[in-house]
Amino acid sequence: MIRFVLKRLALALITLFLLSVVVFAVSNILPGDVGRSVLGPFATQESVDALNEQLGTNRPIVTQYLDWAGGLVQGDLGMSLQRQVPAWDILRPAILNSAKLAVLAFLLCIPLSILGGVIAALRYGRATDRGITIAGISLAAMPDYVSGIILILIFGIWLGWLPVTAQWPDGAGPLTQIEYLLLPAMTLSVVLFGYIARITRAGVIDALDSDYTRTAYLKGLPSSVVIRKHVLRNALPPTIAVVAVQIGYLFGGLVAVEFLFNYQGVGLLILDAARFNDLPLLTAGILLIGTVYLVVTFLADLLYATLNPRIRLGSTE
Amino acid sequence: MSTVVATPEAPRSEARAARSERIRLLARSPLVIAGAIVVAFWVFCALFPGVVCPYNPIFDNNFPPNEHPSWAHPFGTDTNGRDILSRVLAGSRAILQISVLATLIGTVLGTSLGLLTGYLRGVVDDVTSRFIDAILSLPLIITAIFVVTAVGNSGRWVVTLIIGLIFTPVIARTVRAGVLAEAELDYVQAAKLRGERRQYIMFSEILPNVMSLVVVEFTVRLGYAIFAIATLGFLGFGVAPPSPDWAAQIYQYYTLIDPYWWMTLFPALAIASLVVAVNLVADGVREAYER
Repeated sequence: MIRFVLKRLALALITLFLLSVVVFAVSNILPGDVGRSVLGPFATQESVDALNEQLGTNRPIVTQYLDWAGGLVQGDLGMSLQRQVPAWDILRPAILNSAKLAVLAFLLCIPLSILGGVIAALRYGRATDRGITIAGISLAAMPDYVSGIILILIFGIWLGWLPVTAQWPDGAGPLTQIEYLLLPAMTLSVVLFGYIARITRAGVIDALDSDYTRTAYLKGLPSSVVIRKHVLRNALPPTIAVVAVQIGYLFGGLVAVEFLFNYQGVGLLILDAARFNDLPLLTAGILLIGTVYLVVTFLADLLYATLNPRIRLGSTE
Repeated sequence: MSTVVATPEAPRSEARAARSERIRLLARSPLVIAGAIVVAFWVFCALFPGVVCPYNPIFDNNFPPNEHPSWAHPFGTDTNGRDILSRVLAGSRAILQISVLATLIGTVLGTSLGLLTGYLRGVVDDVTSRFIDAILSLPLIITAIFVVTAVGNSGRWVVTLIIGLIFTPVIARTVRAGVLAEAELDYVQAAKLRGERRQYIMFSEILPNVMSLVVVEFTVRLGYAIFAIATLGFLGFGVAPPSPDWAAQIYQYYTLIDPYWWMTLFPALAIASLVVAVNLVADGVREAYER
């Protein structure tokens, strides 16, 4: 087990290093002249040179990378150009906001989508199964903001039950915050439902088809016991792994939903950084999203291995 | 040519039989047919906007603005006094053009990269695969926003190229896996022993055998391309007004959703219908090829 963990950890660290190289290359080589691309075509050459001097972007590219990566290792994500404060100070509250939204979305959708997947698998090939599967494909395929607009129209405007922006008034208590977050969280749940239900369904169908399930039925166990103790116990680990990877993606994929609901999370922050050409803040935010994804995937692998000894023991050989 | 080698007709007719079998499977699925009809409708609108639009989507702007949906304007009019139905029908052109072209770019580049890394193996393959993993740890939309900002240009063709480049690693990874399996088979060994050149083996021997993977990848990625372009457009990186474009219309009008809901709802439904239809077809294609 320890060898498995170390191997996965080393792999994650290598990937993180390469990600930092790619991100650095995109933000420092693609724009050509960084100072010019930040200040625009009408700035004077002196101010462009001064900015390049201030940012250190007139030095050799390898020196710049080493300097930047050295800062990252020590927890220095760089300065925001537009707001002139350390990028981390802006990112931290945004991360907290995005995390609140993501957690609420998962609490809403995991029970429903696992239930949906299990029901679909138990009714395999029948109308209920077709209905759940088609709904899942369609909802997962739609851009999240499109589902968001439809939910806003129904629950926010026509029924008038929920607020249509996510930004709660200052000093609002946890319950009010949840009320404001419900519509965006529902929007995300709608997207996730398709993925999670689909994986659950596939896992349950496999388990239902297996020898141990047949044996359990043949030895006369009631079907509720078979499903609970034999089918679900085998079918859920892959689902958990998929859910965990989705958390990683969800975290960075919130741009459109946060924009639609005007919610100050990481996604909206990245969008603003892009709009204002704040490349240092944009780079820091993107690297952070990649890191969260890699950490979550690593943890998901560990969780999956813990739940499934075959993987754990097989890969240590 | 030695007489031991099988005549080329045999495998070809077998391939043809497999293809007609797949088409039969596709044509039997009601979901695939429904999806194909919707896609065909939007392609027709994109090709012949003059035939389907009741009014000119850009220049007929003298109607009373902000009108509710009515018999004269089933989808209402926008703040500029234009007929929204016409703008929605004509709006399929931009998104279809960009997404099909971007997917083609990604498929061609990704297939080539997958063939190269999967067949040549070695250090190049190891390094490329690790880089691909690193790039894929970022969500599609985030990567797209990042690259568009770094390039400093969100014109239509720049976005097309960027989406195509972003798809390249994913497609390369899938094709590479297929190539790895093929490279072990006898026909590849035979071609090597005949002394064929590498390019010939990769593109004339292996490529036809991983083509089904490429077709599946293309249809699946097309769905993602439409998704990505519609999202970028909504975030303000898209087709410039006044050209009709669904995502740009939503970007422009979603803050007016109360009370002018029709300006946002109809373009949103158009995006939903196209994306869902493409995904239904892609799902059918994947099932037909993977059995």
